[in-house]
Amino acid sequence: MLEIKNLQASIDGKQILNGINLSVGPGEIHAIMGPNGSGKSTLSNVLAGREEYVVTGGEVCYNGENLLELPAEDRARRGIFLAFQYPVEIPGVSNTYFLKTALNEKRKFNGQEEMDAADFLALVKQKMKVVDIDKSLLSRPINEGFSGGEKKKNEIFQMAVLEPSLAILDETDSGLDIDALRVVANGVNSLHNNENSFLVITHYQRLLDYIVPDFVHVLSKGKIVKTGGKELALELEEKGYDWLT
Amino acid sequence: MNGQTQAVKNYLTAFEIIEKQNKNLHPEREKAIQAFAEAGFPDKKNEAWRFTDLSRLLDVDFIPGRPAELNREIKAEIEPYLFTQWKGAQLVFVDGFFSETFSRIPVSPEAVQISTQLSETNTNHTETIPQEDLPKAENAFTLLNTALTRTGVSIRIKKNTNALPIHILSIQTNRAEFSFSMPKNRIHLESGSSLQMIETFVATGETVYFTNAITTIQLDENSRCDYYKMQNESRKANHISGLKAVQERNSVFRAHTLDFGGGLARNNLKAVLNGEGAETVLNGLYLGRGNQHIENHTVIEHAAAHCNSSELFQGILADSSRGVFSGMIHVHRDAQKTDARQSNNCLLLSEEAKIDSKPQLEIYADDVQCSHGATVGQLNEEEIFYLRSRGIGKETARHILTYAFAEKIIEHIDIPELKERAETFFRNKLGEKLHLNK
Ligand SMILES: Nc1ncnc2c1ncn2[C@@H]1O[C@H](COP(=O)(O)OP(=O)(O)O)[C@@H](O)[C@H]1O
Ligand SMILES: [Mg+2]
Repeated sequence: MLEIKNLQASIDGKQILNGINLSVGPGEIHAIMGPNGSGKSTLSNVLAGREEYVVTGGEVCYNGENLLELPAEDRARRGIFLAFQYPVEIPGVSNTYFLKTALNEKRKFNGQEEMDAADFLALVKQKMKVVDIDKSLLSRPINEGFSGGEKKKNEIFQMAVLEPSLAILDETDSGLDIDALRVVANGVNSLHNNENSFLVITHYQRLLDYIVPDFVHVLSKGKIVKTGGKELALELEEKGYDWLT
Repeated sequence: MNGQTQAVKNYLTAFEIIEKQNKNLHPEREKAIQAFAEAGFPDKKNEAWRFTDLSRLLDVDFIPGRPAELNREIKAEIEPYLFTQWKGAQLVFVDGFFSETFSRIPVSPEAVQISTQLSETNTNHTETIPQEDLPKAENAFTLLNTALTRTGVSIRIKKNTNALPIHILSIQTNRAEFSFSMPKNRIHLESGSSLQMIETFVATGETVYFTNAITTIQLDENSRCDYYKMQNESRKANHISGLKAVQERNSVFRAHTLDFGGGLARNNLKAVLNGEGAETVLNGLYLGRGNQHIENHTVIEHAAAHCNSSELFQGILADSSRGVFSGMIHVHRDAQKTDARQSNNCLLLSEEAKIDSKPQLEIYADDVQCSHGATVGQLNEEEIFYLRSRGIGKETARHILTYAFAEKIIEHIDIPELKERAETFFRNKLGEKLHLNK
């Protein structure tokens, strides 16, 4: 469903991605690991359509369409979701209002009827259980004053409501305690089926105790330098990244 | 192009016309027009009018309006603006004249006195022009209002009475192009009384006209007034308004001004805190599009000790619109323990939009807390991207964030009907095709 070929990208004139090749099939979970600054967030943002990143070469094909030609909102409506490494705070816009708007944009795009307030509330209730997010957070402005863990939970909650076909989790596990980590993993596992795929970016192998990847890739200096099965994560945990670069 | 001289002459002529039509005019009017003739309109050399380009106003010889004929067509245009579930009085002025057809004044207890006696339909009443305006006339527009006013409302709320809310609605129809209207309202809240009131200015079309409105509010001890002014005048109209609240001990005055319309719109807002423990809130929201020019000038006179004042103005300027905010806080020598806060935040949605912000603090007491702040910024690209990454279109994302900025004022509107209307005006105006940066 996702084909990345020789993808190169830069920001502020600085080349970050140096030819990434990656193929993700339906229902697959791919983990991407790599040292700080290797380009993990850059890859996530390029896939999500952030315009500050300039694609300087290569192509990305998503369900047969040229993804790179689409603006961010159109990618989201087609099922791409990025759980941000650093979710932004947006004062004055309530979480629930925002999420309802987003969901309905997606539904409109898919030719579905917009969801009314009552149905939306029922959906929210159901998803709240999955993510174990506090009700009071939802009526508050987006991420405003949330703790680090609450922000990450909110990303997973949004993912649960929007039900993406390709979710990219950019270090969602960083800075989380073990309970929060389980919540994140639980969110992913309950959404996972044989149609939707995940790109799980992480620093630590511990997340992969809960989310079992089909493939593990190592990103270094903007390139995938090694690919293996879930056992590669354990090896990285043991030996670090130095032996690969 | 009219000059200052021609413009002044025009209003002197208007005065003669009004004088001929009405006997028993109050002698104060004569004094006012003479003072106006001497002073003329303020020009840019006048510090308080430095940013105000009056040419749109001076270029047209505005004439006294005439009462509209209320045919079916006009009625249909006016009806949508009325609050249908309104419990209190709704006083409707069409083209500057009181309309009995549309107004509703519920049989009110003796304790609430409402009169529209300045209207021409009631010329036989003894005229009462507020005297307090004249000696300290703030500017030419105040003088002009006193000389030429033919409409207005007087309200008196008796001691310890909680009045029903009052809505004063001024509607300008297309038939009144090139006319002026100069309403003068006087509100007096006796001690311990309270009132919520709204002044709305709207137009049914995009015509050229001139509104010069003055409202004075006297708040006796322990009284409370929640005052809202919302104007969505024609984009070619000139709207000048003066608001003055005089507050006695422990009174509370909370004002919200919402500016959406007007080619030139200027609010002169003044609160005088005369008694200890009084509290003033002046909040404002303005949204400029096209080449609109919207100004708010506030003056807070802290004349007594232990008073609080707080001001929050949120401005949004798109296209090549321009905004001006000047906020004067004057703390008199005896006004110890004053707490005065002021902030003006402006969101610029285009590179051509511009804001001039000028706080002025004059503090003569030593034990006070005063703060002021001004911010100018654009929408945050990171926030826009966050919304877009969830499937929300770019334009909608910008609207959501702009609305959030306006919400800081709108959320304080305690009257549901008004809040809903303000939201509608705001969203409609924002939804017009924006010429944005990106
Ligand atoms: N706005 C920017 N301007 C210049 N360099 C940047 C910018 N953003 C990120 N970088 C650089 O790009 C490289 C990759 O960053 P990033 O993709 O965030 O790495 P990772 O997520 O793997 O830690 C780093 O060297 C970082 O300093
Ligand atoms: Mg990163």
